[in-house]
Amino acid sequence: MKQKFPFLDSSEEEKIVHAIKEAERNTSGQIRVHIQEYSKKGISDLKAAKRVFVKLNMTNTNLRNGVLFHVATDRKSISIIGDKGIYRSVPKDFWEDVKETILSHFKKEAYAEGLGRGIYMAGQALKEYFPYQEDTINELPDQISKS
Amino acid sequence: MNYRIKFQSLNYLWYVLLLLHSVPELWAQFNIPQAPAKIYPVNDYAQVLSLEQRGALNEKLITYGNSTSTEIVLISVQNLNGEDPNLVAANWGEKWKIGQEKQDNGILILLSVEDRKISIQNGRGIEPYLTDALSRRIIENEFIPLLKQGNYYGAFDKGTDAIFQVLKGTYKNTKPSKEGSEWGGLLFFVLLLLLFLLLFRGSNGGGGGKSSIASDLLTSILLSGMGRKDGGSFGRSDGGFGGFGGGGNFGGGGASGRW
Repeated sequence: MKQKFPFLDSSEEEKIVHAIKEAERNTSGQIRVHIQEYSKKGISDLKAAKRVFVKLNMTNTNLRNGVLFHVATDRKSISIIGDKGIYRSVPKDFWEDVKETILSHFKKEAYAEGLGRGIYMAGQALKEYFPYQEDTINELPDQISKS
Repeated sequence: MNYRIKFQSLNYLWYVLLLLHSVPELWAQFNIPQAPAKIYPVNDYAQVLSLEQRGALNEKLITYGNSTSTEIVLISVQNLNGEDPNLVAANWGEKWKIGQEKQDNGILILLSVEDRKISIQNGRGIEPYLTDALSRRIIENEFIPLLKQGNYYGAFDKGTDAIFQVLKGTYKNTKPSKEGSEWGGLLFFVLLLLLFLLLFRGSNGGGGGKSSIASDLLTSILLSGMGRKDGGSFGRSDGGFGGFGGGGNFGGGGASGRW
């Protein structure tokens, strides 16, 4: 099936960036969204997402608490990746929960809505485990990256 | 193949104090000394450290270098003849070829005493861990307060401690030491097994609570060892822990699904 193009229109992108800023408000954790149109063949969705995670230098956070929402539009896949700090803090089923929530919206083609919900959930988790500290800085850009 | 280290230059710049504003001499140029036959971590050209202090720092950094392969070199000079500390430090790192060839994991800290300037430059292998922002933070928080007191030893000591913390668990030594390497391999394997067990227990009992620093540390040691050739009894699993994307060993994880 032909994918809706672009995946997010500019007003939706703005909403996402706003959601990221909102989610990062009370935490030192960092959230990014990456939208990939062409994925490399032969690697799993999760692995592709992890590569992007590393490529975006998302491991460069002080507390290793970056979270990436990776969308591969050609494969119709969504992956949520947490760096080791946050990955180890949250319950194991957290990532599945976020994934399911996002998928339920994506299936209705409500992409911005799905990502927004996911970002909110990640923000809540980050807030719980990595509360805002005085020296918190926005370590990673909030803009959506693409490839 | 050219494996020479490429130092990032000019990204960060910190002037310690502009009180003593040195006037750049027009034709003066700073000459980087030839690399000694054996490069020790401490190169105190400005002689700001005592013999004992030099020895202590040397020992500390050599020990660190042996266990992690990351080479940290400290250099103090009287002045830079008005040249930019970052540029000189980067060139210095190139000229002396600090860091292991393939990993490009050298760190060079250059202190110019009269200029009151300090620069931290690192090879590309270090860049993902010791970011420019972190380097600046280390300079501001660790070096500057002690340098202002004229405590050069303290500054180097605390500064390198901070760098250790930043780099903890990112690299393990791949330069085999001459003696005891077989034992090292065995020990590594046993340690790995032990850590794995501990970790396993920890994650079962955790129930979603905060993981302890200890288990964090253990995991990072464990994970950083995954890429080692000589300890490699653990295979790579797709999407699991350990070795993806060539060096992208960050220890995180998550979930994927399709719609």
